[in-house]
Amino acid sequence: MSEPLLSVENLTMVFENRHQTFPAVDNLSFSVKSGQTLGIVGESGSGKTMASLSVMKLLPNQGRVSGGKVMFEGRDLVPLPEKEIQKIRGKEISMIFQDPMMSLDHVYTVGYQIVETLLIHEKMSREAATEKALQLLEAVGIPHPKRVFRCYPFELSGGMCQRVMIAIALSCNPKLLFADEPTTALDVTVQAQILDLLRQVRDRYQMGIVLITHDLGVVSDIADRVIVLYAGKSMEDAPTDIIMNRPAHPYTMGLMKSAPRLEQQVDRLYCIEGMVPDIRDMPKGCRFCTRCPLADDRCRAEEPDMVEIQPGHFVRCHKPAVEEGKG
Amino acid sequence: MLDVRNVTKTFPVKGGMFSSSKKGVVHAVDNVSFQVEKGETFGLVGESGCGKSTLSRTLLQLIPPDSGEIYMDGKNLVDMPKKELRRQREQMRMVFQKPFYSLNPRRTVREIISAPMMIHRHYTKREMQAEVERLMDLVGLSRSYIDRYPHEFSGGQRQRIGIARALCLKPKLIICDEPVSALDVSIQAQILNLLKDLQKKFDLTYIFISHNLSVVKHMSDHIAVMYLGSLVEVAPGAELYQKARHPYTQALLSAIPDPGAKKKDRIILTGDIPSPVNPPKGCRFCTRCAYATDRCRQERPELKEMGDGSKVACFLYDKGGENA
Repeated sequence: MSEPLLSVENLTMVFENRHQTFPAVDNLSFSVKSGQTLGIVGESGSGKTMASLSVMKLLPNQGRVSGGKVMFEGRDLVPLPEKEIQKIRGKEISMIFQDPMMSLDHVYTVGYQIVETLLIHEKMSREAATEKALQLLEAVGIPHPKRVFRCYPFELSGGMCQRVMIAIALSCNPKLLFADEPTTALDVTVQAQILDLLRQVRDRYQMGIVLITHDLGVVSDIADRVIVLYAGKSMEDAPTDIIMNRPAHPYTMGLMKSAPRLEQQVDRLYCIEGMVPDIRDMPKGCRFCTRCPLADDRCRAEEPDMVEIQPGHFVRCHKPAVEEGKG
Repeated sequence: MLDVRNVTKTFPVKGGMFSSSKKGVVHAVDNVSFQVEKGETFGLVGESGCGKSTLSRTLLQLIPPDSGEIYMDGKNLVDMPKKELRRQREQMRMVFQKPFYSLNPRRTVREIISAPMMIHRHYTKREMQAEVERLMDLVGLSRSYIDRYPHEFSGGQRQRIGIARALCLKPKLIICDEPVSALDVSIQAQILNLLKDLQKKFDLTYIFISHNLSVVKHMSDHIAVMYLGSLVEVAPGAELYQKARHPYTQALLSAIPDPGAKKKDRIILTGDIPSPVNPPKGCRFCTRCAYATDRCRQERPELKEMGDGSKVACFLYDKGGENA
């Protein structure tokens, strides 16, 4: 169990045109074990989606993995040809996406789409696949599986569609599930349902989950470990309760403080001034130096390395807040 | 300042493109009443499809309500002659959800912000220029951006343009319909702070609509919780959080994942919001409520005063007691 299921080492993913290359994901490393959930948090443009697409080898045309390894059960996925990847993708590693309504095909019934996945990956008759699909629909908590089986995606609500997506993702008993903003398009009460479902299936099938989100609340709810991404680089990497209670990177602290909280009433929210830098125009030195309240000349000139400030707590900062995270 | 009484809005559902038969009606807003004091922020929370946007549009008469009255400063806006309504609307403005769609992509920032001035009053060019620049300073946009187009801005900046446009002509009431839901957390904080600063500066009244309860709580003095077209609970912000009375409010509060908070026992609602075409008889929430009784399934509870400034529509509190 201690052997990681997926381990990504120094993954770099670039966008390129004829003249230039821009790194969207820069030297990212992470690993997930079976039954564990890893949260990847970042704002839009931080490269979190591109990181997951690189692992799945689903990158858009202009993008390419330019370095690093993606080790899945001891095999490096990066050099594998498309045919080999297809055997793994959807079977060993599945994915659910942000907008469940858009990621299902509108012109096929829900049942057809689940059966299709089963027929591609498993040796099974259509009848057996239909039977399995109905079981899956039931397993993800859909009230009338037989009726929903014949429905088209537009006949279902967002929460139901996401359940169907999860059913498809689970159809071949994957070992690893990538969930890219699985609840962003959903209402809070439905979000709670879906997170609960993800937790259940993770525990039942001992799956590893990589959860990609911008919502720190969602991460605190389900993840064991969190990586905070900013402008393509990991800024902090630690167990969830450390990130939530004792963050050491000024960016993580800023994120935590800038979200309004239910328990406390503050008059003004803390805010991180400015915007995420443009991928074509990254600051020299630390990526966060343009918005960091602690930045000095060294931060602007020299890029910090990832340092382990406590066992299991990594930070990329020249001035990490140690002790109680007060800085 | 704003007094909304028994506003109802329904939309007919037709059987199909070629059939003239009516299939039913969507009860988008059903008998909603509330009051907003001057200078306060009135928050409106609810899940998608509960009618919060329709309600906000009926307030401005962008969608005329079927019945009910809306008083702004003592004047009823419903059935007001168009000319007068237009003058009234100078006082009531709106900031929309998607800063990407609510700005005309073919107009410059100058044209967008000054459009209300062109419509409502006669200004000279110079006055307009000065006013636009003043507004841009107010919302934290550099004056040098005045002749740029919306696509050149980020989401947060676009929302600032939207706010500048709403501030033009010095309104009294601004309706913010999900102003931050499309933005990242760090940008969201900037916009929320800006809205709070502007409120203090100009003594503005906000109606703040969002599905995000933490954001609404941060902004609002009073919060109304909406479910399937009706208000189920209205209470002062802190009150609502500390003692949520309606089972739906309780579920909504417990569903919010809060970073850093201790893991709590969730109330997880089963099922989805019922269709507004055939809302359940009786209490709208009865199909998903853990405490529902036969009475809930037959009768509609009304919003009742609880004695401490809150109002709840639930039979559990019928005798004013603290059940549940």
